[in-house]
Amino acid sequence: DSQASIECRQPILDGGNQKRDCDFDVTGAAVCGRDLPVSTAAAANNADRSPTSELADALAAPDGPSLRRVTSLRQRRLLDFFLVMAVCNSVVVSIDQPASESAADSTATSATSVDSAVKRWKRQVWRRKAPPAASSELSASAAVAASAAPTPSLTPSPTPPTPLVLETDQLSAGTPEPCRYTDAELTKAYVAESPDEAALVRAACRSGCKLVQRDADSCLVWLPADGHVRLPLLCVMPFDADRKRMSVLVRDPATNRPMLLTKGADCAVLDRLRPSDPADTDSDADRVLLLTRLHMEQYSVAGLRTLCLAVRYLDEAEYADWLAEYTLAQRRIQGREAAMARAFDRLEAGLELLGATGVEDRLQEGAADTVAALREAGISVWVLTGDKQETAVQVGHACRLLTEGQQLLTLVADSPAEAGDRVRRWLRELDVAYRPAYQIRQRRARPAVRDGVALVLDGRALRHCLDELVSCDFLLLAEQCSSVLCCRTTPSQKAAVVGLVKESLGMQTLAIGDGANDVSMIQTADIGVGISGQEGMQAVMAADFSLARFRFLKKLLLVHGHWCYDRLARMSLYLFYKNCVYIMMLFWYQLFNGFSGQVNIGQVYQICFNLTMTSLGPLVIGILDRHLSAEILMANPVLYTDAQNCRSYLPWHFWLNILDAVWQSLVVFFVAYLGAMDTDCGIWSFGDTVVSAGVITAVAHNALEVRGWTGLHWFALLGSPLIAWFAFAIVLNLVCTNCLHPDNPYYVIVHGLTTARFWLPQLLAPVLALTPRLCVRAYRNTTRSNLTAQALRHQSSAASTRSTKPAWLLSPSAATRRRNGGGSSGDAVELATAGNFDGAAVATGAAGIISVGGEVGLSTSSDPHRLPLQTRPRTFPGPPPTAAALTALSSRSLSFLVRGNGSGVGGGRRVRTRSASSAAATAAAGRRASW
Amino acid sequence: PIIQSMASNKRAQHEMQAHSSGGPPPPPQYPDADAGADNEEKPPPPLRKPSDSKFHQQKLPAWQPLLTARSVFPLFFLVGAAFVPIGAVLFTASQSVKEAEFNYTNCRDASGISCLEQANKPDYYRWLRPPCVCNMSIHLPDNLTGQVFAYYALTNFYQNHRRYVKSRDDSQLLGWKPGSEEPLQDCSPYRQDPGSEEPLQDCSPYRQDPGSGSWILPCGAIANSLFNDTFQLFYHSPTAGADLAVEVPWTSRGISWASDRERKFGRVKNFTGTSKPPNWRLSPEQRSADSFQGDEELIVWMRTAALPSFRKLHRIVLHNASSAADWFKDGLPSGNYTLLVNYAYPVNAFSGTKSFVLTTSSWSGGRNPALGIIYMVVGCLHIVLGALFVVIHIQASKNLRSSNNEDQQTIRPVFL
Repeated sequence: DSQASIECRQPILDGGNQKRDCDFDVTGAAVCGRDLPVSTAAAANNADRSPTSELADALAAPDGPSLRRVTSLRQRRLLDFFLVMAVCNSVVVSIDQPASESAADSTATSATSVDSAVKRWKRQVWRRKAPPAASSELSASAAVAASAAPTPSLTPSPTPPTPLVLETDQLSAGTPEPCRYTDAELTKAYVAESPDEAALVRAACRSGCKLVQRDADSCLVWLPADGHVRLPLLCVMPFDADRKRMSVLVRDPATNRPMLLTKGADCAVLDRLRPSDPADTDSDADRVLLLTRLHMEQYSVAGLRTLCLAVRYLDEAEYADWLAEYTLAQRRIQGREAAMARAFDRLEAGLELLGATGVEDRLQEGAADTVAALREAGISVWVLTGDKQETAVQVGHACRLLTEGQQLLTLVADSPAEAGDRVRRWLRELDVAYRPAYQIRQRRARPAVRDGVALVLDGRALRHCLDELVSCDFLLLAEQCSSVLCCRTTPSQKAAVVGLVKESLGMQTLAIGDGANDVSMIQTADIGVGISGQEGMQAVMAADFSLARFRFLKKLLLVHGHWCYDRLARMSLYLFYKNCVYIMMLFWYQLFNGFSGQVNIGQVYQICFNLTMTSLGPLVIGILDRHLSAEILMANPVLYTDAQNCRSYLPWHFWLNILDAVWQSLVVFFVAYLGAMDTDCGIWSFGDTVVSAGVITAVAHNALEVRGWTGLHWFALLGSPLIAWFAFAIVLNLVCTNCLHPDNPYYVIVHGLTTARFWLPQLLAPVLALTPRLCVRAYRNTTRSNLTAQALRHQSSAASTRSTKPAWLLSPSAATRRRNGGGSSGDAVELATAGNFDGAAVATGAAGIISVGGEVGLSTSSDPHRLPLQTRPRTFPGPPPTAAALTALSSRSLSFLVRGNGSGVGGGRRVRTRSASSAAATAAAGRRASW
Repeated sequence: PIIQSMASNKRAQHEMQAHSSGGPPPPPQYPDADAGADNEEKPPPPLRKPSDSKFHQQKLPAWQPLLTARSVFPLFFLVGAAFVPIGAVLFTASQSVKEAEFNYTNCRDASGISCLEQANKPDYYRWLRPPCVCNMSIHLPDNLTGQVFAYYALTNFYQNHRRYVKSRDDSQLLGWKPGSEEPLQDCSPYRQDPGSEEPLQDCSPYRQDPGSGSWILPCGAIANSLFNDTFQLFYHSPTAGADLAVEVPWTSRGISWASDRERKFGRVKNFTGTSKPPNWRLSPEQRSADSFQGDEELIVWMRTAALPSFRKLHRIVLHNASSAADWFKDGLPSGNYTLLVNYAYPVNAFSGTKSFVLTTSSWSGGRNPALGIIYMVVGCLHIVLGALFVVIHIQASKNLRSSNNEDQQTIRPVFL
């Protein structure tokens, strides 16, 4: 009867007589039948329930496949498919967690707790030195069956078969017990390091194969036909970047035979399938393989992330044999990793393909907008991803990195020579003049980017492009392209690309990523940005800045970066200026004291001139000043090019600034001099007059440089002359009766304050000294037609016409807050990093932004230690990428490396933290895979 | 029942694991079973979320003025309008000050000997032998109305030289250091009366002098180089006949800062065991009864001048002194005077000059037109600049209107 019913459903399942390859779109929320058009599958993501989940229906049907009564190979595969999805991962069911916490956006706290949950499970797995030989640790209710099992032993003895281990007494009953938790509870309770895994488990759960509990040594799974079933875990072979797959060795509860469940990248699984036996005519392995390949291609083109699921049944002898080898490998002191890898390798062979899944990796909200803004800001955006090329190109389109009608240069090469040939041919086609490497670093201006061309290459081609003979040409080509997409890259390749751009093009680079495989890239780049969230904390820990969302990168760069650059440029100029003014004031006095080195300014004032009297102003500029409002900067990314072209700090700015300082010191000194000429003015009275006029001039200069007056500005700029100079000097002069030999300032300033000789220069000197600067500023602000000047004028006029309210009573961010629905904290860029890197990270981050403006790399070309590219030995962090690593799918991250002239940026999409490192971070339990 | 058995089973497992491993507690699976385990867990790490204050989020309200021609030209006019009157007032005040300066560097004594050469001889400064007294006939063309001050002016005297400025010991001047205590090293070489035990390399003239080896009080080059010309001023009244000369009464009381007299120069109780500065003719006690507080010429001298050409206040004319009847009630009348100089201070060595200055004063100090003139010039300059920026403003707004039509790259407006 049941047989018939299943047969009956077959056409629906398999589309006519084609059968048994079950491939799913697992979109986190929905499981779709494979016959669904790809576009529908992608569009149906948001549906809470899958529109067509025939496979799930088949599983949940009353006569559906059951472990107890497997009627056909088809049913068996259906079961195994879901078992792999549910079990072959490191998802922990954390049912006691408050739902809100695990389901919410992964904030730092919940991420930490999630992290610890997964870690605890890993620790337990690890503590168990060897896979249990048998299932004696299984539930008490299974004791009937387990009584025959031997005590657990580390000895690799062949295990006698153990009968069916099911957690129910109702084996004979027609209907199994219902699952002890609801779907909603389970969905919230799944805690995974990687959102992909959680999505798969959740999809399996919705389809009826529910992971209920995971312990160190077993998994409890609920199946529609069997109820709760405990699967003993014999061995967990975690994901790593070399193997690019994960396997779990379980004991089939029904047959008690070992069964290997494998999930991995296509290249990591398809190569290891059992070769089809031509003699076996019943076998449909070839057809399954063909269809799976077809579907996987469809998924990639749709921008889905694909995984292959496979299974292998072992018999006890094989298992015992392997267990012996594995145990030996585990016990080795030297070469343990390699031996374990060999053991894994041996087991993960001869697989039977079950099907494929596609996980939609949705772009984070605002990602496309951010990428577009970055490109408008003149930043070159490179994507370094571990995804397949088709997936990456699709995502590139989705985030507007690639545009329709763009010529895609797809570089495929198997040798450096081939790569070099193709690159050079394209260069000729693009009509780019060849330049040796040293010239690239020397040149002053970056060539214009061709909007119509984008470069796409995969890990293998990239490896050849990083070759010393090709890299120079590759860079020449790459910088012509509007965007560069590197697929299937390993973490070390990512770092190598960043390093190459940084070193050879002399660019400032920013790397942004969110996963463990972005860490080396983040550390290599000038500025590393980590996205905290579902992929764990490793990227964040390594980064200079940590963001909660990719789209905050726009604000970080366009607003905070621009502000930072502008502030630091003006602050640096001011610091040079004020030191020059101070020194020159002392210098002019040497003309009148026989160059004896006597100073007219008292020694305490000399110290305090820089330390207190003129220090708050530049600090306030450097920390708080905003020349343009955040709204204008966000709306006009093109303004960022100012920072790239160093327009706030050009060499002539520096020299003019110094010239201005000399002029101002001349005015300050000689106005005071004219007042003291041929009088009975004492040296210290004269010094007080000079230093006082100097302080007022320097602070007034500072005030001219301020672009946005906040309360702290007023305090700093009024407090500097009034408190730090006048009040301080008066107090010092009153208390210092006999001190500070030889100047002994007792009552000098008090006496000075009563004379016109002191006061007259205080007004005249600053006004005369600052007249040239004021004229130049006003003139340039009025007549310049560049975009920044336009923006400044627009802001000024907008502010003046805005309302009758004084400008300083209005918050410039009011508009933003309104737009964001009142939540300003969500929009906040986290300037502090999480983890233990607070101080250092912020410091390096600031340094990174400083260098955004400076063309650091260009001036070093005369350095004899910097050899031309071809001869310089290059060291990459980490081991050199091997061919195997490149062809295999090592990591599935999509990361941005953004470069720009004098600035750089990188971006990250998502990553799996399933590297071998146990410090892997967190995952948000309740969210779909997203950027 | 199954769930219960599962739960109890889990609990048993937990307990077993906890006992056997002693490690960290297993992951909590069920609330009821893990109430205890939760308590053992470490508290969550402190939240590192940055503060949402306006300061931390860079959202402090700010006033963002822009310096353009529009906003700057009123400023220029304002400065011009302020500075021209200030300069004019200052200039007038300076011009109202009358002063008369008499250079007596090359004056000769009655026998025609040049006092400059005389003073240049070794040891003349100290011993004044033979004394060189010169008579200068001076003429005041205008009345000096109001309080008149007498200054001496030196040129090319670098009282601001580094080694000179520091060559003093304020503690000595305050009377805090007894004669037995060492003065500051900075006073060297005028620190110790040259004894045999301390050869003075720099000052060979003093080496031969068999000294006592006692400390010099007040020590240092400043004190040692004290200006020691003395003056007497006689007025030849046109009404009283040519022979009658009335001495102008003046005093040195009040020529120094009150703060210096009160707090920086004290009374030295005991000069025994100390030496006077080598160039001094008189000892400190002889110069003033309550040295150094009463020695105002020394106090003025010790406040070293800022520039190599300087004046120092020497005497304040007493306009109501009984000895002079009513001659000087309103200042010094114009006419002929005789200045009697006891010429002692050598200036030949540094190519300096000496002058005697009679001046009145105003609120702005002495006669010094420079600042007033600069104020006026700067004021005028700003008025011109203001006009220039009005033109620039008009021109720019015209350009802006015309360029709006062109399709040049513009920024996206934001409504703030």
